[in-house]
Amino acid sequence: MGCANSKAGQARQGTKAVKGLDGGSSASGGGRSAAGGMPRIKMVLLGDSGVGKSCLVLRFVRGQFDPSSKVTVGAAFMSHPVALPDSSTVKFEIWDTAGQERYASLAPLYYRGASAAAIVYDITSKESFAKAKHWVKELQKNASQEIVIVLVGNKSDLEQDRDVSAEEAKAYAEENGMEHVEASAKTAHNVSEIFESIAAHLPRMLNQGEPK
Amino acid sequence: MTVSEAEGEGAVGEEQKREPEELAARVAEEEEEDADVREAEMADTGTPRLTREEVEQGIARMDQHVDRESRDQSAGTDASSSSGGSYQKQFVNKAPNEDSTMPSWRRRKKHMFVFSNAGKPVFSRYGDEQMMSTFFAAAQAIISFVGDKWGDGLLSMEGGLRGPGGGSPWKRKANRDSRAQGPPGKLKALFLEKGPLTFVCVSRTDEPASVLRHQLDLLHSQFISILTLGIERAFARSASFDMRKLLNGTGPLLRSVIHSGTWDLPVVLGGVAPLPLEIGLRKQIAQSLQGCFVPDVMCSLLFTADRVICISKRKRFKLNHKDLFLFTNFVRLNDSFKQSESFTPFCFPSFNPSAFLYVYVSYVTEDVCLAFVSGRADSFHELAEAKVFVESFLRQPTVRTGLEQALREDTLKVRELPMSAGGGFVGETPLWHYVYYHKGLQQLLSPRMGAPPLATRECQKRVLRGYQEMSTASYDGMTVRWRRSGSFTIIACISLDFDLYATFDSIVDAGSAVRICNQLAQYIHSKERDLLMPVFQLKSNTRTTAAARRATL
Ligand SMILES: Nc1nc2c(ncn2[C@@H]2O[C@H](COP(=O)(O)OP(=O)(O)OP(=O)(O)O)[C@@H](O)[C@H]2O)c(=O)[nH]1
Ligand SMILES: [Mg+2]
Repeated sequence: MGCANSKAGQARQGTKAVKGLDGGSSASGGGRSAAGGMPRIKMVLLGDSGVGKSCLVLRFVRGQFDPSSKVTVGAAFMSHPVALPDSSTVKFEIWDTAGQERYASLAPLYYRGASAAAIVYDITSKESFAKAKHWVKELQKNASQEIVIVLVGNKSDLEQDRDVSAEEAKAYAEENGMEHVEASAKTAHNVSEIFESIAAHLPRMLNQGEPK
Repeated sequence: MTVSEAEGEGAVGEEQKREPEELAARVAEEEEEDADVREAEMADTGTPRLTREEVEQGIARMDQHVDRESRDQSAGTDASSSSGGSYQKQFVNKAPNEDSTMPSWRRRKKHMFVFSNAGKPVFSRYGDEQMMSTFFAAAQAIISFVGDKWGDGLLSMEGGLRGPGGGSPWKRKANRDSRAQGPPGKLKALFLEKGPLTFVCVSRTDEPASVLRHQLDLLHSQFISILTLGIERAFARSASFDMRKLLNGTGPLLRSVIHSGTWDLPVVLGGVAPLPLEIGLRKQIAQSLQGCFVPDVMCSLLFTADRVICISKRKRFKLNHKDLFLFTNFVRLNDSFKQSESFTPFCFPSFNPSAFLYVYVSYVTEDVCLAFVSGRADSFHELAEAKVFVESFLRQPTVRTGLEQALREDTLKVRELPMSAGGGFVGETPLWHYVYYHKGLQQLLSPRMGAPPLATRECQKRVLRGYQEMSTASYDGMTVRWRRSGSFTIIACISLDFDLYATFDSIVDAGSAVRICNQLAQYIHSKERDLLMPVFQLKSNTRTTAAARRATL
């Protein structure tokens, strides 16, 4: 639900109603170069509420983990420069969206024009995995063709409560041409790998997306 | 599932038919469009002069009321400590496992519920609404039983139900605010029907029905603000529509709004609490808020957890104090805003209940929050640039020290007042606390509570309820109202332009109370310029864009 009618939103895709937040001009979502600045990569995190999207971003951007839950409202924005293996630097512009149901219809605002998406689930919750699949479908249908999607199973530190097997998730990711990473914002396990695996696709994306 | 058809873009063009009372004095709007920063003219308010006779007469009449008055002696349920840290955490469900069959649940002093007309539970202040379907079914039955008889969607009942397990039938009473109240703990129930939802308050707090109704109205506005009137359409499509999914996680927000009905003066008296700030500095800040023109920005706000520093807005954006409260409370309540810049839809119910606007929110210092209200869903990056501009302005040494000082020092403290106006340390002065309410601007000036002699929560609550009662009851049009209540005395002076409410110790005599009130009113009046907050007008076409401004810097 929520904030705008999601059905209407879909019907009006591409029209003014659901523009991307960058002005909606770059539907292909390549890295844009700021005048004289480093290339910017727009990325979006999607997934059920409580799976740990904000914790992952805060771990990546600030190296911190705060276990007290701070439910995201609307969407939070953070940017972070990342050095690539070829010693160039790109700036990740990360939209950490709210997972609560009433914000779901806002998602197109954030994934439209995005170069990359991390779809996050919680390995201790089957429900959150089902939700992740829903997001995969929505992106396949509505996002840019070139968008790089990483499927992230968060809370890998909670192995004892695991409810989604790594094999199942991996198989699903492969079927859909996505990378799969199990990570933990708490222990920092594999967190930078999420972004590295996106960065690994960057040279291709950057070439395609060069100045418009 | 989707609820609202409303789009930000639709919202902007749509002019409101209803014209909510406006925060800014209307004077500001009729002025010429030239001035760079425009300010509301502050009405020249005379100071009240009370005579001793007036007061004594008032006392005599008030004492009669007090005799009938019942006092709340039982332990407060609102004992949540306001010790630092997360405001949000205070409003988790205090009794998540209670249900309506438990004595502890029945003992709670003020319940609020919301259910759909299909009888589906939507929200309960205490307990798990899902476990109380029988209770909700009963409430629903009461409503449908009397349903055809209530005219304006409001049903008010009173009963002698006391203590757990009591089941005496409620008597239906006239649906009017009556000041005559029954014995302590008398139960009041209010049902307020709003479209597909019914809002219920069951209270033994002795607040009059009109006040409870006001609180239910605010809760309803909070619902609208979360979901817009779109919920009504969703219910129209399907009566069994499950709203709880959409409300997921909003419990603390809803509970905080209920809490504010008792604890936040801006809600209790209906106004805005500005941060006292030297007018020159406030103007400069307003200029910086206007320094970056972003198309479709309707309003820029700078505020702290409990006070508003500056508002610059477009004329057509009507911002009343209720919407402003809902917004600042929403920001204050969600800790996630402190972590990073955010962009979120928000509905200002009095401005336009059927559409969301988009709000950029970012803390510019640890305590000061900046927000831009925009009609456009894709304006984030422009607003983020505007924020950088404001932030750098606020970092200038003179601005920063001036603002920090205003934030740190509560110039409204009783201790800071001149001695003749009741200033002094605890024990030296009979004056404990006061509220100066400017009617034209709907702004209130008041020292923060919490310090001795108003240290305990129970005591604060009684003072707040006293103010509320004095402001709502009509007292036959008396301009001076007086009320002794246990350990303190409250006096209210009602004048044309402002109201002054003051709390004194219990032994103060009328003569000195009157003297102090007069001096206090005069003192505040003389400082209004630097205490009250003009609302600045934002104009559309004279501003440079952020990019242009950077180029010229
Ligand atoms: N054990 C464990 N807990 C985690 C981990 N990551 C997050 N959490 C916990 O999960 C809860 C929710 O995390 P958030 O990052 O706020 O979840 P979110 O996905 O951003 O949720 P929304 O903002 O509502 O969409 C927090 O209380 C965290 O303490 C993790 O890697 N391990
Ligand atoms: Mg989050």
